[in-house]
Amino acid sequence: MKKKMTPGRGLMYVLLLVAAIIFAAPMLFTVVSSLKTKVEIFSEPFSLPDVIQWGNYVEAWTGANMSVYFLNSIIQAGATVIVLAITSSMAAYVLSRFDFKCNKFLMLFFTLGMMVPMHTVLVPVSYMISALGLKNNIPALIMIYTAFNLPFSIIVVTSFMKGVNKSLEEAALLDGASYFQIYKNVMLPMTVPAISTISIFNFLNAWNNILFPLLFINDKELKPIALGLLNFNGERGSDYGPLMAAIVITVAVPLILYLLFQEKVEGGLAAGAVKE
Amino acid sequence: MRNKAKRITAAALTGVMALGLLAGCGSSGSGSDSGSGEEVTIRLLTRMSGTTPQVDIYNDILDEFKEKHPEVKIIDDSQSDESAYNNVLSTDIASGDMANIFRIQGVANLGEYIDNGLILDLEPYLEEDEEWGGGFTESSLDYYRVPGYDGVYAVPYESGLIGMYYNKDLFEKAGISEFPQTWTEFLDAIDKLNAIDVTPIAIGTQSTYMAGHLHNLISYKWLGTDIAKQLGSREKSWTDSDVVETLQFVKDLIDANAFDPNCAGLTDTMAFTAFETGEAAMVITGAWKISEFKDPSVCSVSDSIEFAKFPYFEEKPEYKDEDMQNMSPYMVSGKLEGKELDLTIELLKMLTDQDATKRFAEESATLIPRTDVTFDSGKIDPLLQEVIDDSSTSTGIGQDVFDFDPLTSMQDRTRNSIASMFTGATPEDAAAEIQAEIDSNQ
Repeated sequence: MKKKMTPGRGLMYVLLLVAAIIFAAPMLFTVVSSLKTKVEIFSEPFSLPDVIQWGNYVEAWTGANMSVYFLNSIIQAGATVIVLAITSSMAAYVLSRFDFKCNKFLMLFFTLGMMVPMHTVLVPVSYMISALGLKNNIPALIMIYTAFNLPFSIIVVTSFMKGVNKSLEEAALLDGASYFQIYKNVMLPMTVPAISTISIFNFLNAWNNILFPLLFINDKELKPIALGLLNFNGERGSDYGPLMAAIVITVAVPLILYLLFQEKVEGGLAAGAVKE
Repeated sequence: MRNKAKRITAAALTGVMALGLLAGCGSSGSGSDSGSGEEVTIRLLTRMSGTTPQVDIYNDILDEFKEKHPEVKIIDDSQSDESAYNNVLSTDIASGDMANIFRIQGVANLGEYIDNGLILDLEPYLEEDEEWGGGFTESSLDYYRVPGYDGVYAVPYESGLIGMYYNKDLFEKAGISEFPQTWTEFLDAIDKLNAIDVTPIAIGTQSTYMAGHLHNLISYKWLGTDIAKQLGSREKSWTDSDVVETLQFVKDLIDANAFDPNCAGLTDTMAFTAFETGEAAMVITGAWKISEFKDPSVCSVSDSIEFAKFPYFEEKPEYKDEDMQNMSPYMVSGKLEGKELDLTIELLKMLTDQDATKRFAEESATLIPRTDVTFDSGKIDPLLQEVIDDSSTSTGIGQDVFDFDPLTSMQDRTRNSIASMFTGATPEDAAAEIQAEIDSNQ
């Protein structure tokens, strides 16, 4: 049904349009700049390129090793997402469905985990990584990402699971299913929207994280894409054309993923917000 | 019965969760194993990272070292980005895991590192190997003699005069036949350049170091390069009248319209673009910019660019050749011993010896301050040769005025206060603000 245009609705559209332009402008500027020469970027920042510089993308992708960094990021962020989806959904199943003594304490424990700023534990984590000889160790990096994203993931999935109707689970139990079977065959499929939500967030956090790989990964063959961007920012000036191209490449993946899963992300976030 | 089963399942699932977390610990890795047995790991934390010709040469030297010593594992942790570099360095210091070769800017602040045994005194190694150690210019090694400590705590891997790169054609168009030698001639040239609607000096003080470098040059020509040590030792204060005068000269240039009126909103790259596209007649920078200035795809006026020292003050002819030079050092960890130390020193020598100096100068227009290298005249850029020739006339060299200040916050404080004059602050305001930083930390 077509909604009637009122002055209020018109104003809302105008405001939304302005907001959209404000949010889209930096990205548009980056995309246009990625096709210009360095001189054009600074002498005519808002013009279109005279000659489209596809070479910036070639240089970013091959010359600055971004192809390797890109693949590394896919592996590191992808593995983080999988580990977190498994661990957080298992923990959430226990916390939402089983009533045992430490249940409330564990929930509080994970909530507290969200309140620890990353920078406050940097030195002890760095010390541990060095002492254990875990520099340049990708599983260790994934473990750190997992540890920092686990509290948020558990809270979101637990809230969602609490809202899932218990009758399906009871039916499965009557049919003789074990608890692991219930978790795997009933709870997990029912929790897909929440897992999609946390997966997007966890992917973005791992993809964008620069601090941990900066400190714990110094092998050029293992660095993620966020670190690769720093290559363009030199002590004696920056290579802006390829830098802009590299930024576009870096942002494209999370942007596409977000657009693909947008509905599920929003649905998962809202779930559990209201008790029925 | 049901409760028991629930408890067992809960425990099992929690266990699986914990195992999942710990799984990462078990896999094979390539951690640092420096000092153990025959295998040695050398870690470098420098600013040599990125896509420049200078970095390519540096990587070539690391590869040569690897070929020579296949048993040595080289980990190059270098970061071109300043904040990334500082993040890694501060975490290294806090966790006591210093790189074998690293870099710290400044001199006076090195005392704390020396006290904690984090930096090696290189003087014995420089004396021991006359061929390597004897080739560095004396002034460059003296620069790393930390006040209050014996020894030399770094070797330079890059240096060069910071001066005026100017557009000869624009000068000629404005009726200026040669680059001004004195301050009065300089102000006169600025008026003439303004008359033909050219920005006399390209500067972008959003990158505050540009304002800082301008003030360094003026300070050394007015008070000599010793002023940096005098300010650092508190023998002089920023509110002393002669120091305020150095800030007044910056203000005089602003009042003479020497800069773009919007320069406070510009970055260094924007300023360099103005110079490289012929919109501005001069820019203050170092030799590392030469390869960019000579690239016609980046710089449309590459054939017109020449180099000159910053003008001196007629009243102070004794400081005519007191110059600003940039200096980038390599330091060695004081925690090393045995084979690891020997190999680290060997690598340090390879990075700064005669061969390296020749390659860096001829292929990337960067200078290691050595006196024992002869460059192939056909390979070295004439502009770089001019810088080398002018460098030899320096009677004193200084880097940034805050280099000898024990307060690490002085880098930001001095640069920000000097940059604030471009948005209306008076020299007295800027001086008082800088001095207040010192006073509040005493």
